[in-house]
Parts: sequence; structure tokens; C-alpha cells
Amino acid sequence: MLDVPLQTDPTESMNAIMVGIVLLYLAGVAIIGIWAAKQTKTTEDFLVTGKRFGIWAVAFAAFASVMSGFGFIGGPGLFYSGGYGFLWIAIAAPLAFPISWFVLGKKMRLMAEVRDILTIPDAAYARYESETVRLLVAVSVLLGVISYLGVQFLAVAFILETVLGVSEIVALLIGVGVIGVYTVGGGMIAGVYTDLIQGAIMVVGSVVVFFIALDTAGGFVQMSRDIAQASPEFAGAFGAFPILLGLSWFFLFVVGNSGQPHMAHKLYMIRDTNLLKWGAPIAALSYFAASLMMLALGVGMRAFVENGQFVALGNPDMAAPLFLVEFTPAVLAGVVLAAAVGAVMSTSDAFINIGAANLARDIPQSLGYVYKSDAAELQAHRLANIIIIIGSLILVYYVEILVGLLGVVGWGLFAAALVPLLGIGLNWRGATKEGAIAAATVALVGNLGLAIVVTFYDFGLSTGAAVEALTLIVATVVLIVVSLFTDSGAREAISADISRVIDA
Amino acid sequence: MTININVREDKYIIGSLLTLLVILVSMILGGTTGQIVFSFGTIAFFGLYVLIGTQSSAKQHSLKPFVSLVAGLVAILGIGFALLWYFHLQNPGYSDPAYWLGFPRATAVVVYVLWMPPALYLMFAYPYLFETYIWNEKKAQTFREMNAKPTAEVVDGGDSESEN
Repeated sequence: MLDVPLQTDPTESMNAIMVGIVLLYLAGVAIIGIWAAKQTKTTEDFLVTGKRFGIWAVAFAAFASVMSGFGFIGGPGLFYSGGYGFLWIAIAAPLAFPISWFVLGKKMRLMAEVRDILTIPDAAYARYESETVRLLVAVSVLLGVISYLGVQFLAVAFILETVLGVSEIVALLIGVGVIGVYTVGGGMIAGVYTDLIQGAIMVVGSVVVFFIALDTAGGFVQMSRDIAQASPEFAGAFGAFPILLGLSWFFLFVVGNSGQPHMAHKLYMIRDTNLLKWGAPIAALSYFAASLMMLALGVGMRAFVENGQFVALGNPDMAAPLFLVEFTPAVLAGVVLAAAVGAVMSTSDAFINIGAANLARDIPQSLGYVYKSDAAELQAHRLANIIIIIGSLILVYYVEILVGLLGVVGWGLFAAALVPLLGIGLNWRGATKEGAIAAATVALVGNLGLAIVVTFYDFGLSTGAAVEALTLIVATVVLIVVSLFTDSGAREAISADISRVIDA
Repeated sequence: MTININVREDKYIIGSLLTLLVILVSMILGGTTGQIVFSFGTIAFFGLYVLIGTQSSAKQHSLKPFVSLVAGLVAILGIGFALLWYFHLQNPGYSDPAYWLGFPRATAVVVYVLWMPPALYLMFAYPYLFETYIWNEKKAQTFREMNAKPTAEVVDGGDSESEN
């Protein structure tokens, strides 16, 4: 037990070992990017790795890109600020991965087998034979990508600023520079290899830190008692959050997982459909292991504040870095902070590639443009990556309100557009083009409309439920109802190859 | 305007539609009843979503393993949420709570019952069912042979806006 409250600026406690490990990690990632650039010969290599990977790489890439900086930095912060209520997001992913595998695993992989499908909007077009559907999905995904990238860039700047002690703009340029080297050059090949390494570091680091945190804070019994004594609701099953917020998070994050393009897109990359078999346990258990740390760090820091060992944190996101520098050996702190950078990067590279594919492939194709050669398309994708990175950087700095606006509905924007169109549509022959257009429109307009009223008019459901869950439910209902009342011949009009995927 | 329902093919879709409407109303109305209805509606939707996703496999083999799969999932989650509500409503303010394995009892149910048991059950059910019911080399061979034939044709009629 410590006698006096500890300081709350982790940067002051960073030492050369921690900084060195993080810098070494950044250099390693950049080298992988340069190597992968040489392996990338075609657009298929760039977007779906030429379908070359086994299940460990694909499942780790899926888990690592879903974990993101939100999990490593925002997660402990939310446990710190809301108590055990954040469990409702943490417990969703291990259940969400197997559900996604049952609903979409085989179908998405087979879509890439029967058609020249490289992106999520490609799959939506193939299923509904509608350029309008492709355009709506592409725009939804692009807006979601911008919001996520803005948040990820801010997260990488936050971590590197804290670790390296440089200004936010320098930290941002270092982080985004490294991400740029490996995504522009190596596309998804670099993305998946770095995800594999980043994912392994996240899992091992998280489990070790979890036990250190438990030991330091006196175990869950002591942590819970410290919290319950000062703020009983923090120790409750729903924490300091409204009950329906926790429950609607659980619904949104379990069902919405199958609508996340950075997850679903990975299913194209697997070498053989037979390899899908062990993907669900690998992704789900990895996420579970990695989420142990956010629970112990966030709740542990709250317990320290409640029992007087720490002064209250001005910024809840400091919970993880502060705990690491104060209570873990320098080497471990350096490795876990590098893993946090890795978590941000793995999500960023997935989104940069998905966004660039929207710009260079989906939107031009939906407007009737055809590339003269594959080499020309590959060049266009690399250029689009640069545009997405620079565009997101500009948005972060000059149009922050847009990042905040889209960040409100980021996960929901993907979920509401893609769960009905692909999760339902690839398994139900009755889903029609009209239903898909209506659902995608509701998802897009509904989420943007809600983002505006939430941001500018402080709107929220009086019950506290998440508005993103509302749009997911409404978009799914719209797909089903409109499909039931339109185009009675739609079931028979599905192309033979897509029909075989639905029936597989 | 006619409604295009194929009851045999659409039963899980109709079930999902009704469940989503119940969830929607409960999340708007709120209150203790709304919260409890929302939680059990969520469990029902998870089950129906898995059944929708496995409908094609069930059609080729047997419905029984998938219904059993979903029944197990619904049972685990159902018991978990029943325990959660029971303990939560006994002491909703969590003042001087009784502890189980390091947490107030309702929180312990979230950690030890709702977190990993349903996930472990479902994640290992996938590889367990995979080769017999989901995908195997024989199915892959048949699928490859079918796709070796022309693929752009439409089974009957078509409504595409443009060719792929």
C-alpha cells in the first residue's frame, strides 16, 4: 500500500527502455511494410492478400482489427469512468465471433470463390445486382471509415505523445507516417502480417498485465469492495451507465460484429474454406484474453482512486498508461504500450485499405468506370490510400466536428448497413433489391440524422438505450418488411452462382 | 400489393421480425419490464440469427443439430439473465452487497455466466459441427464442379440493373 497519492502524468515516469521498445516496434512494422510492398503485385494481393493466408493469420487479423485502440486505451478508461457497466461491451466479442462465423463465415468466403469479389460493396452488388445498393453501401462504409480513422489517429497520437513526450502533432505524424509506409506499399499483406504480430503481443501482454494488476490491487474482492464502499453503483452489474445502455450495447456489439467490414472482409482472405473451422475459437479466445487487461486496469485504477492511493484522473484514458508505468516492469510496460500502438495500427490499416477500395473501386464501378488494366487499378488503390490518410488527417485537425459526429455512430453505421444486407441477405433468398436499398438508406440517413441530433441537440433515448442499436433494429426491420412486399420473383431471379452460395 | 411469404423458408425471418419489433418497443418504453423484455428478446434474436445463418446447412443435412445448438445457447443465456435480474432486483442500489467470487452477486453473474460460458459453447460448437454439417471436402468438390459451369446465368428471369 502506498502512503501518498501518486502523480497522474505517466510521461514523467517513462524511461528509455519503454521508449526504446515502442520505437523498435514502429521500425519493425515499417520494415514489414517495405517487404510486403515487394510481395504485392496485383489488386487482389493488395485488397485481399491474394487469398493466401491460413486461419491463424486471418482470425488474429480479425480479432486485432476489432480490438483497436478503443479496446486498449478507451476500454480501461470506460471501466474507470463507468465501473463494471463496460463489461457489456467486453463480454460481447467472444460471443459475437462464433455467431459471425455461423452466419457469414462460409458465405463470405464462397462469395469470393464464385465472383471477382474484393470488397464488401462488391458482395452487396453481387447479391442484389444493383449499383444503387453498391453505392449506398460504399458511402456508408466510407463515412464509417473516416470516423474510425479519425478516432484511431487521435488514439495513436495520444499514446505516442504520452510515451515519447513529444507534441501531439509530432506524435500524430510519426504514427501516421509508419501506418502510411506499410499500408500504401504493402496493402493487406502487410496489414495481416503486422496484425498477426500485434495480436500475439496483445494477447500475451494483456494476460501478464491482468495478473499483475490483480496482484497489485488485491484481487477482484478488494477492488470490488473499494469501489462499492465509495460508489456502490460502480460495482453493480450495469455500473454507472443506464441499464438499457448496457443491454443495447450487448445487442449491438454481438449482432453488429457480423456487419463490421474490417471483420467480414478478412473472411475473403482465407486460403481455403475448410480452414474456417477453427477461426471462431481463435478470434474469440484471443479477444477474451486481450480484454482481461482492460477490465483489471480500468477497475484497478478506479479502486486506487477510491481508496486514496491515486488522485482522480483528469482524463480516464490515462488509466492504462498510468497503471503500466507505475506498476509493471519497464520491459513489460514498453511491450504493452507497443501493443496498444499495434492495436490502433491494425485497425487503421484495415480501414485505410477498405476506405481506399471504396474510393478506387466501389464508387467508380457503381458510376460505370472501368480500369484499363490491373496495374492501373493497383496504382489507383495506392493513390487512394494516400488520399484517405491525408484526408483523415485533415479531418482530425480541421473538421474535428465531423470526426466527432461520425464517431457517435461509427460501429452502428457499419452494423445497420451490413447486418441486414449481408448477414440476412446472404442467408435469405427473399431479401430483395428494393428491401436492400430501403434498409441501406435507413442505415445511412438514420445514423447521420441521429449523429446530428445527438451532437447538436443533445438528443438521446429517454431510456438511455444506444441510438446505434435503434438504427440497426430499424434497418433490419425495413429490409424484411420491404422485401416481403416487393418483387415476388426475386427468389428465382438470383444469379445461379450467388444462389449456390446462399444454399451452400 | 401482395405479400411474398414462403412460410417454410421464411419462418425464422418472420420470427426475427416479430422479435425485433418487441425489442424496439421495449427499448423505447424502458422501465424494469422493458429492460427485462429487451434482454430476453435479445436472447431470442441471437438464436434466430444463428438459425437464419445455418438454414442452408440444416436443409442439406438435418435441422436437429442446429436447433439443439440454439436451444443450448438460449438456455445458457436465459439462465444467466434470469439470475442477473433476480440478484439485481434484490439490491438494485448495490449498497452493502453480498459477494460471489470477488463481485457483487449480479455482477458475478455477468462475469462468470454471461461472459464466457455461452461464447465457449458456441465457439467450440462451430468446429464440432463443421465437417459433418457445415463444410467438408466433398461439399467443396461439388461446389467447385458446379462453378466450373457458366456462372452468370440467372435461374429464372432477372432484374439486374447491369451486368456484372
